[in-house]
Amino acid sequence: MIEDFGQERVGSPAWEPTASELARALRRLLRGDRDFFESTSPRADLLEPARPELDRRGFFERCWPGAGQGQGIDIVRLIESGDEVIVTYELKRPGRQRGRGCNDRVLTFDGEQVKRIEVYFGWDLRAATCGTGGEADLPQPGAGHRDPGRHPDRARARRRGGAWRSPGLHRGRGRPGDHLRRAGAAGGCGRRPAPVQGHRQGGRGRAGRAEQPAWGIAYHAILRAGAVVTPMYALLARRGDRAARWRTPTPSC
Amino acid sequence: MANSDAKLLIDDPPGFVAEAEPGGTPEAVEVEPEDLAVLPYSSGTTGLMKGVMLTHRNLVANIEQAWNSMPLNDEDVLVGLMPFFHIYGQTVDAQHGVSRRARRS
Repeated sequence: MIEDFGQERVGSPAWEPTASELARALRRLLRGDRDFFESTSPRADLLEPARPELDRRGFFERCWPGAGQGQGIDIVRLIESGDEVIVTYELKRPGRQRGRGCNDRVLTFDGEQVKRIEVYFGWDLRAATCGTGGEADLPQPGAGHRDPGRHPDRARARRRGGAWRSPGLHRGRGRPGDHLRRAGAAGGCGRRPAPVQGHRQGGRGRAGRAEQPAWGIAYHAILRAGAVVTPMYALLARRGDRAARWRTPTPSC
Repeated sequence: MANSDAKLLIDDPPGFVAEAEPGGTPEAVEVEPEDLAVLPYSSGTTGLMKGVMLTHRNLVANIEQAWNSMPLNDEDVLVGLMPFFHIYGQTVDAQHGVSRRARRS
Protein backbone atom coordinates (compact mmCIF):
# COMPACT_ATOMS: atom_id res chain seq x y z
CA MET A 1 0.00 0.00 0.00
CA ILE A 2 1.18 3.45 -0.71
CA GLU A 3 1.27 4.51 2.92
CA ASP A 4 4.29 2.25 3.25
CA PHE A 5 6.23 4.24 0.73
CA GLY A 6 7.25 6.96 3.10
CA GLN A 7 9.56 6.79 6.04
CA GLU A 8 6.59 6.87 8.35
CA ARG A 9 3.05 5.74 7.98
CA VAL A 10 0.77 8.36 6.71
CA GLY A 11 -2.94 8.69 6.99
CA SER A 12 -5.10 5.96 5.50
CA PRO A 13 -7.41 5.37 3.76
CA ALA A 14 -7.79 8.97 2.54
CA TRP A 15 -4.10 9.61 2.10
CA GLU A 16 -3.49 12.94 0.46
CA PRO A 17 0.26 13.35 0.34
CA THR A 18 1.97 16.65 0.05
CA ALA A 19 4.45 17.10 -2.76
CA SER A 20 7.36 16.44 -0.46
CA GLU A 21 5.75 13.28 0.90
CA LEU A 22 5.08 12.07 -2.59
CA ALA A 23 8.62 12.85 -3.65
CA ARG A 24 10.00 10.92 -0.72
CA ALA A 25 7.79 7.97 -1.51
CA LEU A 26 8.78 8.01 -5.15
CA ARG A 27 12.43 8.32 -4.29
CA ARG A 28 12.15 5.17 -2.25
CA LEU A 29 10.24 3.42 -4.97
CA LEU A 30 12.58 4.43 -7.77
CA ARG A 31 15.66 3.33 -5.90
CA GLY A 32 14.60 -0.03 -7.20
CA ASP A 33 14.10 -2.14 -4.14
CA ARG A 34 12.54 -5.12 -5.89
CA ASP A 35 11.13 -6.74 -2.78
CA PHE A 36 9.68 -3.48 -1.63
CA PHE A 37 8.24 -2.85 -5.03
CA GLU A 38 6.68 -6.30 -5.32
CA SER A 39 5.17 -6.00 -1.86
CA THR A 40 3.60 -2.64 -2.57
CA SER A 41 2.69 -2.91 -6.24
CA PRO A 42 2.19 -6.58 -7.00
CA ARG A 43 -0.23 -5.98 -9.82
CA ALA A 44 1.36 -2.95 -11.43
CA ASP A 45 1.87 -3.09 -15.16
CA LEU A 46 5.40 -2.14 -16.10
CA LEU A 47 5.76 -0.62 -19.51
CA GLU A 48 8.60 0.68 -21.57
CA PRO A 49 6.91 1.79 -24.77
CA ALA A 50 10.11 1.37 -26.77
CA ARG A 51 10.29 -2.28 -25.68
CA PRO A 52 6.75 -3.56 -25.57
CA GLU A 53 7.95 -7.15 -25.47
CA LEU A 54 9.36 -6.85 -21.96
CA ASP A 55 7.61 -8.79 -19.25
CA ARG A 56 7.86 -7.95 -15.58
CA ARG A 57 11.15 -9.79 -15.11
CA GLY A 58 12.60 -8.34 -18.28
CA PHE A 59 11.57 -4.89 -17.22
CA PHE A 60 13.61 -5.15 -14.05
CA GLU A 61 16.60 -6.66 -15.83
CA ARG A 62 16.64 -4.12 -18.62
CA CYS A 63 15.15 -1.04 -17.11
CA TRP A 64 16.03 -1.30 -13.45
CA PRO A 65 19.53 -2.78 -13.59
CA GLY A 66 20.64 -0.92 -10.50
CA ALA A 67 17.84 -2.22 -8.38
CA GLY A 68 19.02 -3.12 -4.92
CA GLN A 69 22.55 -1.80 -5.49
CA GLY A 70 22.22 1.37 -3.52
CA GLN A 71 21.31 3.66 -6.35
CA GLY A 72 19.57 6.87 -5.56
CA ILE A 73 17.73 9.43 -7.55
CA ASP A 74 17.38 13.16 -7.75
CA ILE A 75 13.90 14.23 -8.66
CA VAL A 76 14.04 17.01 -11.23
CA ARG A 77 10.35 17.39 -11.86
CA LEU A 78 7.19 16.12 -10.26
CA ILE A 79 3.76 16.71 -11.69
CA GLU A 80 0.49 15.33 -10.40
CA SER A 81 -2.29 15.03 -12.95
CA GLY A 82 -5.44 13.27 -11.90
CA ASP A 83 -4.54 9.71 -10.98
CA GLU A 84 -1.13 10.04 -12.63
CA VAL A 85 2.17 11.28 -11.34
CA ILE A 86 4.84 12.29 -13.83
CA VAL A 87 8.31 12.27 -12.43
CA THR A 88 11.58 13.21 -14.11
CA TYR A 89 14.62 11.99 -12.26
CA GLU A 90 18.34 11.50 -12.55
CA LEU A 91 19.98 8.33 -11.32
CA LYS A 92 22.86 8.36 -8.88
CA ARG A 93 24.88 5.19 -8.57
CA PRO A 94 27.54 4.62 -5.97
CA GLY A 95 31.02 5.22 -7.33
CA ARG A 96 29.81 6.17 -10.76
CA GLN A 97 29.62 9.47 -12.46
CA ARG A 98 26.33 10.75 -13.57
CA GLY A 99 25.86 11.00 -17.25
CA ARG A 100 22.92 8.99 -18.41
CA GLY A 101 20.76 12.06 -18.31
CA CYS A 102 17.26 12.17 -16.97
CA ASN A 103 14.48 9.67 -17.35
CA ASP A 104 10.74 10.00 -17.00
CA ARG A 105 8.28 7.74 -15.34
CA VAL A 106 4.56 8.04 -15.40
CA LEU A 107 2.93 6.32 -12.47
CA THR A 108 -0.77 5.65 -12.57
CA PHE A 109 -2.53 5.05 -9.31
CA ASP A 110 -5.68 3.12 -8.60
CA GLY A 111 -6.57 4.43 -5.21
CA GLU A 112 -3.49 3.79 -3.15
CA GLN A 113 -2.08 1.09 -5.39
CA VAL A 114 0.33 1.74 -8.21
CA LYS A 115 -1.52 0.44 -11.23
CA ARG A 116 1.00 1.14 -13.94
CA ILE A 117 4.50 2.48 -14.40
CA GLU A 118 5.70 3.71 -17.75
CA VAL A 119 9.34 4.56 -18.20
CA TYR A 120 10.83 6.80 -20.85
CA PHE A 121 14.58 6.75 -21.17
CA GLY A 122 17.01 9.06 -22.74
CA TRP A 123 15.67 12.52 -22.24
CA ASP A 124 18.92 14.37 -21.80
CA LEU A 125 17.38 17.02 -19.68
CA ARG A 126 20.74 18.16 -18.46
CA ALA A 127 21.80 19.12 -21.96
CA ALA A 128 18.60 21.06 -22.33
CA THR A 129 18.03 22.88 -19.12
CA CYS A 130 20.00 21.55 -16.21
CA GLY A 131 23.76 21.71 -15.86
CA THR A 132 26.02 22.48 -18.80
CA GLY A 133 24.68 23.03 -22.24
CA GLY A 134 21.39 24.83 -21.94
CA GLU A 135 18.94 25.95 -24.50
CA ALA A 136 21.57 27.72 -26.57
CA ASP A 137 22.96 24.31 -27.48
CA LEU A 138 19.67 22.98 -28.81
CA PRO A 139 18.92 23.03 -32.54
CA GLN A 140 17.17 26.20 -33.51
CA PRO A 141 14.65 26.04 -36.36
CA GLY A 142 15.93 27.65 -39.51
CA ALA A 143 19.28 28.54 -38.10
CA GLY A 144 21.19 25.62 -39.57
CA HIS A 145 23.15 23.24 -37.41
CA ARG A 146 26.83 22.70 -36.94
CA ASP A 147 26.36 18.98 -36.57
CA PRO A 148 24.41 17.23 -39.35
CA GLY A 149 23.56 14.44 -36.94
CA ARG A 150 21.36 16.85 -35.03
CA HIS A 151 19.62 18.26 -38.04
CA PRO A 152 15.93 17.31 -37.98
CA ASP A 153 16.14 16.39 -41.65
CA ARG A 154 19.33 14.40 -41.23
CA ALA A 155 19.06 12.17 -44.25
CA ARG A 156 18.64 15.03 -46.67
CA ALA A 157 20.55 17.84 -45.06
CA ARG A 158 23.09 19.55 -47.29
CA ARG A 159 25.90 21.82 -46.26
CA ARG A 160 25.34 25.34 -47.43
CA GLY A 161 26.70 28.59 -46.14
CA GLY A 162 28.71 26.96 -43.40
CA ALA A 163 25.74 25.14 -41.88
CA TRP A 164 23.65 22.05 -42.56
CA ARG A 165 20.30 22.93 -44.05
CA SER A 166 17.33 21.19 -45.61
CA PRO A 167 17.29 21.03 -49.38
CA GLY A 168 14.69 22.94 -51.28
CA LEU A 169 11.48 21.39 -52.47
CA HIS A 170 11.98 18.61 -54.93
CA ARG A 171 10.98 19.53 -58.44
CA GLY A 172 9.16 16.54 -59.76
CA ARG A 173 8.39 15.81 -63.37
CA GLY A 174 5.02 15.21 -64.82
CA ARG A 175 2.06 17.21 -65.93
CA PRO A 176 -0.62 18.51 -63.62
CA GLY A 177 -3.76 16.48 -64.04
CA ASP A 178 -1.83 13.37 -64.95
CA HIS A 179 -1.78 12.27 -61.38
CA LEU A 180 -4.84 10.08 -61.05
CA ARG A 181 -4.55 8.61 -64.53
CA ARG A 182 -1.04 7.46 -63.77
CA ALA A 183 -2.20 6.18 -60.41
CA GLY A 184 -4.80 4.07 -62.16
CA ALA A 185 -2.18 2.82 -64.57
CA ALA A 186 0.24 1.93 -61.83
CA GLY A 187 -2.60 0.27 -59.96
CA GLY A 188 -3.14 -2.34 -62.57
CA CYS A 189 -4.61 -1.06 -65.82
CA GLY A 190 -1.54 0.20 -67.63
CA ARG A 191 -0.47 -1.19 -70.95
CA ARG A 192 2.90 -2.07 -69.57
CA PRO A 193 3.34 -4.37 -66.62
CA ALA A 194 4.21 -2.51 -63.48
CA PRO A 195 5.45 -3.86 -60.17
CA VAL A 196 2.35 -2.69 -58.38
CA GLN A 197 0.19 -4.71 -60.70
CA GLY A 198 -1.06 -7.79 -58.99
CA HIS A 199 -1.30 -5.88 -55.79
CA ARG A 200 -4.79 -6.81 -54.82
CA GLN A 201 -7.40 -5.94 -52.31
CA GLY A 202 -6.35 -6.64 -48.78
CA GLY A 203 -2.66 -6.46 -49.60
CA ARG A 204 -0.20 -4.04 -48.10
CA GLY A 205 2.17 -1.72 -49.86
CA ARG A 206 4.70 0.74 -48.59
CA ALA A 207 5.32 4.04 -50.28
CA GLY A 208 8.86 5.03 -49.56
CA ARG A 209 9.98 8.18 -51.28
CA ALA A 210 8.86 11.56 -50.12
CA GLU A 211 7.91 14.80 -51.78
CA GLN A 212 7.82 13.45 -55.30
CA PRO A 213 4.85 13.21 -57.64
CA ALA A 214 5.53 9.51 -57.90
CA TRP A 215 4.77 9.16 -54.22
CA GLY A 216 1.22 10.34 -54.74
CA ILE A 217 0.82 8.06 -57.72
CA ALA A 218 2.02 5.06 -55.78
CA TYR A 219 -0.16 6.02 -52.84
CA HIS A 220 -3.33 6.24 -54.87
CA ALA A 221 -2.42 3.20 -56.93
CA ILE A 222 -2.24 1.09 -53.80
CA LEU A 223 -5.56 2.46 -52.58
CA ARG A 224 -7.04 2.00 -56.05
CA ALA A 225 -6.09 -1.64 -55.88
CA GLY A 226 -7.95 -1.91 -52.60
CA ALA A 227 -4.78 -2.46 -50.62
CA VAL A 228 -3.41 -0.66 -47.59
CA VAL A 229 -0.69 1.97 -47.74
CA THR A 230 2.07 2.13 -45.21
CA PRO A 231 3.80 5.47 -45.81
CA MET A 232 7.43 5.28 -44.88
CA TYR A 233 9.36 7.91 -43.04
CA ALA A 234 11.78 9.66 -45.35
CA LEU A 235 14.68 9.22 -42.93
CA LEU A 236 14.62 5.47 -43.27
CA ALA A 237 17.89 4.17 -44.65
CA ARG A 238 18.33 1.44 -47.21
CA ARG A 239 20.54 -1.56 -46.85
CA GLY A 240 21.74 -3.94 -49.45
CA ASP A 241 18.70 -6.13 -48.99
CA ARG A 242 16.51 -3.06 -49.36
CA ALA A 243 15.04 -3.63 -45.95
CA ALA A 244 14.37 -0.46 -44.07
CA ARG A 245 15.86 0.24 -40.70
CA TRP A 246 16.07 3.15 -38.40
CA ARG A 247 19.09 5.33 -38.94
CA THR A 248 18.66 7.27 -35.74
CA PRO A 249 19.43 5.49 -32.48
CA THR A 250 16.46 4.76 -30.30
CA PRO A 251 16.79 5.96 -26.74
CA SER A 252 16.26 3.01 -24.52
CA CYS A 253 17.40 1.44 -21.33
CA MET B 1 7.70 -1.54 -39.60
CA ALA B 2 8.00 -5.21 -40.32
CA ASN B 3 4.71 -5.79 -38.57
CA SER B 4 2.92 -3.76 -41.24
CA ASP B 5 3.03 -6.99 -43.25
CA ALA B 6 3.73 -5.03 -46.41
CA LYS B 7 4.28 -7.28 -49.40
CA LEU B 8 5.40 -4.53 -51.72
CA LEU B 9 8.03 -1.89 -51.15
CA ILE B 10 7.96 1.07 -53.47
CA ASP B 11 11.20 2.90 -53.00
CA ASP B 12 12.81 4.43 -56.04
CA PRO B 13 9.67 5.01 -58.06
CA PRO B 14 10.88 6.12 -61.49
CA GLY B 15 10.72 2.56 -62.75
CA PHE B 16 7.12 1.66 -62.33
CA VAL B 17 5.68 5.15 -62.38
CA ALA B 18 7.55 6.29 -65.46
CA GLU B 19 6.71 3.10 -67.31
CA ALA B 20 3.09 2.98 -66.29
CA GLU B 21 0.92 4.35 -69.03
CA PRO B 22 -2.67 5.42 -68.77
CA GLY B 23 -5.07 3.12 -70.47
CA GLY B 24 -7.97 0.84 -69.74
CA THR B 25 -10.17 0.89 -66.72
CA PRO B 26 -8.96 -0.26 -63.35
CA GLU B 27 -10.60 -3.31 -61.97
CA ALA B 28 -13.47 -2.31 -59.71
CA VAL B 29 -12.73 -2.78 -56.05
CA GLU B 30 -15.39 -2.51 -53.40
CA VAL B 31 -14.23 -0.62 -50.36
CA GLU B 32 -16.27 -0.07 -47.23
CA PRO B 33 -15.88 3.10 -45.16
CA GLU B 34 -14.55 1.08 -42.24
CA ASP B 35 -11.96 -0.75 -44.31
CA LEU B 36 -8.37 -0.06 -43.43
CA ALA B 37 -6.82 2.38 -45.89
CA VAL B 38 -3.56 3.62 -44.48
CA LEU B 39 -1.22 2.36 -41.83
CA PRO B 40 1.09 5.26 -41.03
CA TYR B 41 3.58 4.76 -38.26
CA SER B 42 3.54 7.40 -35.58
CA SER B 43 5.49 7.72 -32.39
CA GLY B 44 2.88 9.87 -30.77
CA THR B 45 5.82 12.11 -29.84
CA THR B 46 7.36 9.52 -27.55
CA GLY B 47 8.47 5.93 -27.91
CA LEU B 48 8.79 3.91 -31.05
CA MET B 49 6.64 4.17 -34.11
CA LYS B 50 3.38 2.27 -33.93
CA GLY B 51 1.00 1.56 -36.77
CA VAL B 52 -2.09 3.77 -36.71
CA MET B 53 -5.07 2.12 -38.37
CA LEU B 54 -6.83 4.74 -40.46
CA THR B 55 -9.92 3.80 -42.41
CA HIS B 56 -11.30 5.27 -45.60
CA ARG B 57 -13.88 7.04 -43.47
CA ASN B 58 -11.08 8.62 -41.43
CA LEU B 59 -9.40 9.98 -44.54
CA VAL B 60 -12.59 11.30 -46.09
CA ALA B 61 -13.62 12.94 -42.84
CA ASN B 62 -10.28 14.70 -42.58
CA ILE B 63 -10.48 15.85 -46.19
CA GLU B 64 -13.95 17.25 -45.58
CA GLN B 65 -12.69 19.01 -42.47
CA ALA B 66 -9.92 20.56 -44.50
CA TRP B 67 -12.40 21.57 -47.16
CA ASN B 68 -14.51 23.43 -44.60
CA SER B 69 -11.59 25.48 -43.44
CA MET B 70 -9.77 25.78 -46.76
CA PRO B 71 -12.05 25.54 -49.79
CA LEU B 72 -10.13 24.77 -52.97
CA ASN B 73 -11.13 24.48 -56.59
CA ASP B 74 -9.50 23.46 -59.84
CA GLU B 75 -7.94 26.87 -60.30
CA ASP B 76 -6.00 26.75 -57.05
CA VAL B 77 -2.40 25.78 -56.61
CA LEU B 78 -1.65 24.44 -53.16
CA VAL B 79 1.83 24.77 -51.72
CA GLY B 80 2.21 21.79 -49.43
CA LEU B 81 5.14 21.83 -47.06
CA MET B 82 4.36 18.82 -44.92
CA PRO B 83 6.01 15.52 -45.84
CA PHE B 84 3.73 12.94 -47.36
CA PHE B 85 4.48 10.28 -44.81
CA HIS B 86 2.92 12.59 -42.24
CA ILE B 87 -0.85 12.30 -42.02
CA TYR B 88 -1.29 16.03 -42.47
CA GLY B 89 0.78 15.91 -45.64
CA GLN B 90 -1.28 12.98 -46.90
CA THR B 91 -4.74 14.29 -46.26
CA VAL B 92 -4.71 18.06 -46.02
CA ASP B 93 -1.83 18.74 -48.40
CA ALA B 94 -2.18 15.98 -50.96
CA GLN B 95 -5.60 14.36 -50.97
CA HIS B 96 -7.55 17.48 -50.21
CA GLY B 97 -6.08 19.18 -53.26
CA VAL B 98 -6.45 16.15 -55.48
CA SER B 99 -10.08 15.69 -54.45
CA ARG B 100 -10.81 19.25 -55.59
CA ARG B 101 -8.68 18.99 -58.71
CA ALA B 102 -6.36 21.63 -57.38
CA ARG B 103 -2.69 21.50 -58.21
CA ARG B 104 -0.04 20.95 -55.61
CA SER B 105 3.47 22.24 -55.69
